[in-house]
Amino acid sequence: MSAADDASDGINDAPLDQLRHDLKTPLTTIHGRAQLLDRAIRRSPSLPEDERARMLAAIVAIEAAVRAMVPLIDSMGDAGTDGTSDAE
Amino acid sequence: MEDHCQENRPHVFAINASPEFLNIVRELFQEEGYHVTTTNFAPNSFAQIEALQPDALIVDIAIGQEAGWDLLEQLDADADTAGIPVLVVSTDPKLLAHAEAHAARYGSHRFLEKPLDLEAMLEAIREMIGES
Repeated sequence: MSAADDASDGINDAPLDQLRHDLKTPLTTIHGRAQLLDRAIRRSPSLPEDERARMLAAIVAIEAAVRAMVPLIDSMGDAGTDGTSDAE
Repeated sequence: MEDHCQENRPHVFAINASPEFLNIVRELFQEEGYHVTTTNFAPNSFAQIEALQPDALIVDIAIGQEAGWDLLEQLDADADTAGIPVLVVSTDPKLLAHAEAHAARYGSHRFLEKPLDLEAMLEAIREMIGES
């Protein structure tokens, strides 16, 4: 059995898992880029304080949206659940 | 892709099908002073790793994707690469759990789920290399 087949064995819905992967991949980019921006802003001492606060608040909003999306994606196709998961 | 001026910086080698994830990894670790190599599961990825002997690897596993799983098996089976610490990442927590439960086949590694926290990835690599 190939390694990928071995890993997929017992996982019930490959198309749904692929959809979850395809949705989480751009979220990974959004979340990663938001964190890199956050790091860059914190390293920029010349930024006006009000501008820094506004930009950091925007990043907090982006990251909150990502965290809201992940459990929704993880719970797709789960019948009889409340739509929540342990995923961040 | 490799960055220049390797000197004596710790070397992280990342393999992922997503070019943008590789871009993020490269920027993050270069900011922290690491030497970074990235590839998107090119056929010679294992040979590259064996030749370069990085201090740590970041390997992605995904549903229906043979290359990541095959690479983990190859790395663990080869005496020249079995000792290189690996951070396994995936969007699928079930796959991460499967890899962790089958350490005899895929090796004993660290695992992080995507979308991932960059500080958690940094800390995992630092711990694996022995920097923290």
